[in-house]
Amino acid sequence: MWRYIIRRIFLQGIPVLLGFTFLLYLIITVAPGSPVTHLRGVPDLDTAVIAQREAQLGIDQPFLIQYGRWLGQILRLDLGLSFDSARRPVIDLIGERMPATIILSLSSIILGWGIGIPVGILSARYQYSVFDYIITFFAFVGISIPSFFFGLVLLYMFALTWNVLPAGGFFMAGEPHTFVGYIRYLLLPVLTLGLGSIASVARYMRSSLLEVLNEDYLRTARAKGLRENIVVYKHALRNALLPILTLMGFMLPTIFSGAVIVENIFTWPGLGSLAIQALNERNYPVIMGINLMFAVLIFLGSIIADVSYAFADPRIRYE
Amino acid sequence: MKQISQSKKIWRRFCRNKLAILGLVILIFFVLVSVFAPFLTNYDPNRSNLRNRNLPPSGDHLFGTDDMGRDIFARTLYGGRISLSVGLVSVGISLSIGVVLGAVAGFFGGMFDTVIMRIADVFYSFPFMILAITISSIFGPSIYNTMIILGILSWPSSARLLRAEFLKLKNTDFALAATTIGANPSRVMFRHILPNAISPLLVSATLGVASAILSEAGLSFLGLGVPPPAPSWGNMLNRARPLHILASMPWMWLPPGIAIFVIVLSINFVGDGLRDAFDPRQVMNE
Amino acid sequence: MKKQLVIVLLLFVLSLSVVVSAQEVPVLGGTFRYGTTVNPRGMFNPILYTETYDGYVIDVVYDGLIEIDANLQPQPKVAKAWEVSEDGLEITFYLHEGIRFHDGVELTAEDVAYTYMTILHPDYTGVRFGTFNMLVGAQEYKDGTQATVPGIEIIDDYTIKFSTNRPHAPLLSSFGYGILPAHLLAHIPVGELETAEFNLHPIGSGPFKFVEFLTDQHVTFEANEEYFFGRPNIDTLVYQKVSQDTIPIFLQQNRIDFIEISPDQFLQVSDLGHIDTYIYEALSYSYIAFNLRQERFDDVAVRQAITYGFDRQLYVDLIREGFGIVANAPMPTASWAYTSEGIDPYHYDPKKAAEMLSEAGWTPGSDGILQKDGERLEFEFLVPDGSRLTEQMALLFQQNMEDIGIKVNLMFMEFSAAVDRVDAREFDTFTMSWSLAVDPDPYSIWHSTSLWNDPGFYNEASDRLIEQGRLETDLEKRKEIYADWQRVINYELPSMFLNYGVAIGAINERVKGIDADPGPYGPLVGRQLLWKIWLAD
Repeated sequence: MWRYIIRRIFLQGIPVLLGFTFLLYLIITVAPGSPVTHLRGVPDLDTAVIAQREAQLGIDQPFLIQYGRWLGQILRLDLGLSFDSARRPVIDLIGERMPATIILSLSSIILGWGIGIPVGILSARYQYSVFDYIITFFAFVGISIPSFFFGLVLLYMFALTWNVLPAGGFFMAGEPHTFVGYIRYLLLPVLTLGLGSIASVARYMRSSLLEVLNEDYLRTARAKGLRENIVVYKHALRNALLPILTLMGFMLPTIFSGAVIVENIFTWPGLGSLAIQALNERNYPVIMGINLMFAVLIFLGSIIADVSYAFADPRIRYE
Repeated sequence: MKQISQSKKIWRRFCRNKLAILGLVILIFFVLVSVFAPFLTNYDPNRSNLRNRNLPPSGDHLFGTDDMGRDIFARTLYGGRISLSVGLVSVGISLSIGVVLGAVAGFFGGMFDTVIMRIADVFYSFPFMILAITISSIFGPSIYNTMIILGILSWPSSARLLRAEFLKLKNTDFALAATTIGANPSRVMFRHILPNAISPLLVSATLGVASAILSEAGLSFLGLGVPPPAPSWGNMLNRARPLHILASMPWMWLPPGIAIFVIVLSINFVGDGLRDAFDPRQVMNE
Repeated sequence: MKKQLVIVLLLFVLSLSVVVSAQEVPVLGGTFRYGTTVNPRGMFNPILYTETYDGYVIDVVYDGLIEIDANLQPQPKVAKAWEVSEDGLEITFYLHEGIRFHDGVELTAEDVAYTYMTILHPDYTGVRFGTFNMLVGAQEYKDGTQATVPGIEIIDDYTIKFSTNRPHAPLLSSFGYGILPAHLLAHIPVGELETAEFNLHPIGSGPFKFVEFLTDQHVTFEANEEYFFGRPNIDTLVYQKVSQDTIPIFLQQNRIDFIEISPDQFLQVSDLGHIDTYIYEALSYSYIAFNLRQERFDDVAVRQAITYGFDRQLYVDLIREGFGIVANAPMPTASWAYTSEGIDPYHYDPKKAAEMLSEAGWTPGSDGILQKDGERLEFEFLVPDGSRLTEQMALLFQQNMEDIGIKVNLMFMEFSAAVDRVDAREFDTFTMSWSLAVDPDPYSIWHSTSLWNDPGFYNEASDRLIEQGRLETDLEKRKEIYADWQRVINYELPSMFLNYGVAIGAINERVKGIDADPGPYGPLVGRQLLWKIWLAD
């Protein structure tokens, strides 16, 4: 097992990350726009100051040297200093916003899986029942609404019209820090981000369970007179949950992507707004840092999915 | 002969799924309406008339006008052209890349397989939206960039799918037979194996169109999709972002909102129907 | 100005008299939340920051030698008085005695000298050197050929003298930069100052003490009990981040007390019973720049005709919902240097525009587009995206130009990419806007040698007047010079001026002690009034 994990990290992870960062750095350096755009309009500025700044940031060097320097820093576990005027370490910028994004993403995953799995099971258990049709319909609706639009509608109803939930933010300065307080802020963004996952998890769960239920050994079990509930919940469920575990790994990127948009709507202080800001300013180290970090997270997510798959299914052995 | 009866069977199974038929009808309706947009409205979707801003629906303007005094009915029709073509073209791009690479990887295996699948991993494991935002903000938003970005970022799924089918089909009797009688590999691949792999591909392509339309809307929401003044459902919805429009001018966001929702919904219905129709297990159930 | 605006302003003047007559005694305590749509970066150092929102923090944590009042005139702050020598070459500041930094150490001329010497230091990484390069010996010190700056002279602990090589009228208003505590910073090499921990935990002598900066959430401050000019009335100040779309909800839910809103939010916000709105003219203008390096735009008749051909009043009235004033020169109405005398208003007149173009030799081609010597009057219009108002303006401009036979191709572009094109001078026309400094000196934007002279404008009279304006220290004479200059630009039109900015401040009615007849900095005079306001109830 450990050998498998290590092999995946070194043979797959590292080359993939290298290729990705190289391409990304190339793209952002050849693209139009410059990290010193924010100096536009500074009174009495002369070109020497701009040149000095460019030299300080190293952007006067050719691409390969810039990328080499960046890679060198990464190997020393240093994400470098941000290019904006505050020159803060990129690791701090990411670290400050990471918790908000993680909380949002995790809560949405929990919501998506917590509701999606039982609903999917029931929907499969009572296939072609009214319940199944309703669930199927709502699942389709859930994956067909653009998330930003759903978010705006929620905002409009719960914050503006009924005035029962805050319109955004992570927490207000000066409010007492209570659990309920945090939940109030979390509710709308999580619902917005989680809707899609509830729907798709329920769909996957349903079809996965149905597939298992049609397998021969369960037909045999039924034929032997086992009660349907025992067949479903005791024998089929375990096998049907397996493919869902791998789904976890694939859904992580989707969740993170969705988070960018949801954060934008709800003033959520996560990485999404930092990413967009950094892109607008051509803040190379921050763009690289965020993408690298997401890439590593998603890669780890896929390893965990594989490993948990192996734990759940004794037939699978990774060598 | 076998081929024909096979597709007939699939079609018959598909027709049994009422939601899928409904989806297909709606889909065809939308396509027709977008294609024949110029015959359905006299308004130029981009021509603004500031003196007629924010008008509610009326006989003159069926869906009212937007904050630039442009006819929303016309914009919704023409927006359909753009949104649908973004969906179709980007899936086309992703399919062409995915099919070729997936087929090569699956058929030849070995080094090809390893390298191609590793590259697919690169694309697969990165947060789609963040990368899309990065690329689109750097190359500038445009219809074509949006299509290319969405296409290039989503090819790995069709490549994986095709590869898996190939691995499965490579060793079936007819493929082996074709190779033994000396048919060249590309002929075997595309003439004999590909048609059999088409059903899962079709399903995934259908669903791909739906998710591309949603992604375009998401990018447009961040100002990185189809740029103004050309209408797309995504950027029309984005224009309705200010709360006062959301609250008091529903005619600005209802048409594009409903259009996106209905089209994505019906594509999903069709995709689901296709999956059921293709799935041999379903046959066993009947 | 639009009628609606005048009425609203009048109403506020009326309500002001009510407020004044019912003048209450300030109440102590409470939390004031100031809404911002962009979060600061964490460079809370007055001589190094470049982001506006870092400046917001600096405004309340530090005090400068002077501060700029609502009429844009310098007023005493840390300096209780100053003296300008007869020849205009020397400014001597007399400091208050007993002003203390938040850590209790007294502020002296030593700190003032440190602050300004650092800007001139060879290793200084900020961008302010150009503002002070006329100080005696500044350039030599910067180049490393001299170890001191004779132009900055500490007379005693509470007196400091700045001397310049030549009179420089804009200099005085540049002394508003917050004064840094030398005792905390002098040991740090100037080159490493930008990564100092201090920048994130600023210590100044201003009315509020910095407490906490939570990225993308808020910045909090507490009242400086020992503030030299008197303790602020409120206990806590919060800069709260709000996303543009949700501003009306934040106001409705009483989550912010003040924020600047956009014209399209005005109606919705003014419907809220407990929120007052204040409308004021800002120090900014928007423009469409012509690339004068191209022959067609080098002809003043073409530039004037295009200006006649664009209905800027309609743009201000409908697109900006009346929040704006049509501009005809680059000097905002809010500035003391503004003049309307002898300024051609270029009222919308498509017929006149067409005539001027045909006199200039442009004749309609077969496709209806004007042509001259085989060249079509067709150009690219670069529009940085992100603002719906700008987008709407661009569409209107395109249609208006079509009416007079000019084909405009819109190029919507992300801001940074657009700036790239402008810097490389690869544009036909583009639109952007400028926010201006307190002093009306137009040198940085319009002098032919300046970096930000994007159109490539050169006019002898203009350059001469700009240079004169810098040398003239008499306010009235300076006004005259700038009036002459505005008339030159108004005729030449190196850019088409669209509108002067009009801003809207929304403020909760519980906030008292504000400037009810706001100048260009709004009802809180930037952030100056934050230490004077109080909260009713």
